[in-house]
Amino acid sequence: MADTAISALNLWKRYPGGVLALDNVSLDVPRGCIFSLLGRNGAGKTTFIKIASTQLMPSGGDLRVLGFDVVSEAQEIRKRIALTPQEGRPALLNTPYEHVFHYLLARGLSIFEASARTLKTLKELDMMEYAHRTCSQLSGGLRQRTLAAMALATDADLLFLDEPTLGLDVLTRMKVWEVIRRAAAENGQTVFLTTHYMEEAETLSDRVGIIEGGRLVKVGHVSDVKEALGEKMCVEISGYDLDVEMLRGVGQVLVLGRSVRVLADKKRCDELLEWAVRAGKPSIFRPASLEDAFIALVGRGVEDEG
Amino acid sequence: MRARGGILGRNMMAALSISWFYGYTQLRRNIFWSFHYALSPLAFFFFIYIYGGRLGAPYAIAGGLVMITLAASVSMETEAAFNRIVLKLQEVYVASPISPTAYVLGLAMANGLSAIPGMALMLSIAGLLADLTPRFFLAVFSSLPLIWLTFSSFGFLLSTLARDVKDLWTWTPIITGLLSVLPPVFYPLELLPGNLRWIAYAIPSATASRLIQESLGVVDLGGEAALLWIALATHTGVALTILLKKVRWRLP
Repeated sequence: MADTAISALNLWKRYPGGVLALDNVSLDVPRGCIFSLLGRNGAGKTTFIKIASTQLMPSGGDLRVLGFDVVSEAQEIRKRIALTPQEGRPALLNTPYEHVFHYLLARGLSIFEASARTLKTLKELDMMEYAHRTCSQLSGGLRQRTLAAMALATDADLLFLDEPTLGLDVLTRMKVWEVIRRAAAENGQTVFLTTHYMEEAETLSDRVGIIEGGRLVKVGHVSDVKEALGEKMCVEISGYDLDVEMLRGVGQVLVLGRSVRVLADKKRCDELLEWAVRAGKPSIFRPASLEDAFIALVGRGVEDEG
Repeated sequence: MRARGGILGRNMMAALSISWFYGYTQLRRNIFWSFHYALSPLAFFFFIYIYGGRLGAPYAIAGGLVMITLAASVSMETEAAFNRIVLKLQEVYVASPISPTAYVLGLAMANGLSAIPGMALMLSIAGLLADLTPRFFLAVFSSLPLIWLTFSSFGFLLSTLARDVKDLWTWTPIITGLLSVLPPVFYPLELLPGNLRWIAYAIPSATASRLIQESLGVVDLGGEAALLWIALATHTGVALTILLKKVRWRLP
C-alpha cells in the first residue's frame, strides 16, 4: 500500500477550449492527512479534484491516487474514494436520510450498515431533527450539510471535499470540521479539500497547497507556508488616508480595501504600532496568518474575486 | 466495509437503490409526475375512440402503451442532465464504486416507475374494451421493456451532450411526438404507402406497437412477427452497445 494518497508529477490539463487549467502541478499528499488546496476562483482547484477523482482526463503528466494511475486504473480508485461536489445541490423531494442511505446502499453497503452509518453521520452533523424532512424544507446550510454527509458517511479511504462548508455559518462549519477531523484521526481517512476560508484551512489542515493560475506556488505544512513570508508578525491598520508608500518602507504591504496589512519582523511591527496609536489609527498587532501568506503569494485576497 | 457480492448483484443493488431514490421516493411526494405521461395517450385514445369506436380502440390502446413507455424513457435525458448539470449528483456517483451501467439502469428504472400508473390506467381501459389474451400480455411485457431500454439508452446519451438542461426541455416532447405520432403507432401500418412499410422495422416504437396490435387481434402478421421481434431485439442490443461504448462517464 502506497504511503501517499495522492502523488502528482508534472500534471497538466488543457481544456478543449484551449484554457490551461493546470500547469505542471507536482504534489504529494500523505495518507491519513487533511490536505487543503487553496486558490482563487478559477485557479485550478476543482480541475485538480476532478482529475484526481476520475471525473476528468488529464492532458499529461502523472497522477496516482492511492497507488493507482488515474488514467488506466480509474476503477480501482473509484472503489476507494467519495466526493462532495462544488456547488452541488441535493434533490429537493428527498430527505437527508434518503440521500445518504441510498447512496451508501448503491456503494455496496448492506441495508443495516447503510442505515447505521447514515444515522451516525447525521447525528454527528446535528441533522437528526431534519433527517426525514424533504430538502425543499431545509435551509441552504442544511442542504450543503446533506451533500457533505453523503461523502462523510462512507468508509472511503480518500474523501474529496470541494468547498464542503461553502455558505455555512461559523458554528455549523465548526461542526463539519469536527466530523472531518474525526474521519482522519479515527478512521484513518485522507481528506483532500478545497476551501476559500483561510481559517478553515489553517485550523483543519495538516498540509496546504496554494495554486494560482494552474501552477502550484507553495505546498507544505501550514507553518511552512506561513514561513514563506520570511516574517512572522502583522500589523493591520484601518483608515482612508494611509501613506502606503511610507508603509512599504516598513515591510511587505497588502492593501485590502480601507485597511492595510504590513508584514514585518517584530521590532518593526512594534514601531509601526506605536506610530499608528499616536496617529489615532485603529490597528491590530498579531502573528501572520495563513491568509496573509496566501495574499502575499497570490497577490490579493480571495474576497476580491467576484 | 467494502462492497460485497458479485458484480451483477452489486450493480443490481445499486440500480435498485438509485431507482428507489429517484423514482419511488419522489413519485410518492408528487404523484402528478406519473400521470403526465398518460395525458397525451389518453387524449389520442379519446379522439380515436370517438371517431373509430371499438374498431379503433385496439390501435389507441397499443399506441397509448407504447407512447407512455416512450415518453417515460426518453425523459431520461432531462433527468440525467438535471442530475449532472444542476444537482451535480452525477459527480458523486462517478467518484464512487457505482458503475455507469448501474447508474443509468437506476435512473431508467426510476423513470419506468413513473410510467406505471399511466400504464395501469391504459391496461384497465384495454380490459374494458378488448379481449385480453395471454398473447397480449406477452407482447406488452416483452416489447415495452425492450423499447424502454432502447430509448432510455438514447436519452442518457443525449443528456451527456447537453450543456444546459434548457437544451433538452424541448427535445423530450419533440422526440416523443416524432416517434409515436408520425409512425404507425396509433394506426395500422397498412395505411402507409408500400414504400414506407420498412418503418415498422426501423422505428422501435412502430415495431412494438405492431406486435401489440397483432396480440389484440386487429392485424395478422403471420411470419412477419418473428422478424419484428428480431428487429426490436436488435434495436435494443445496438442501443445498449452504443451506450456502454460511448457513455461519457469521464470527461475528456
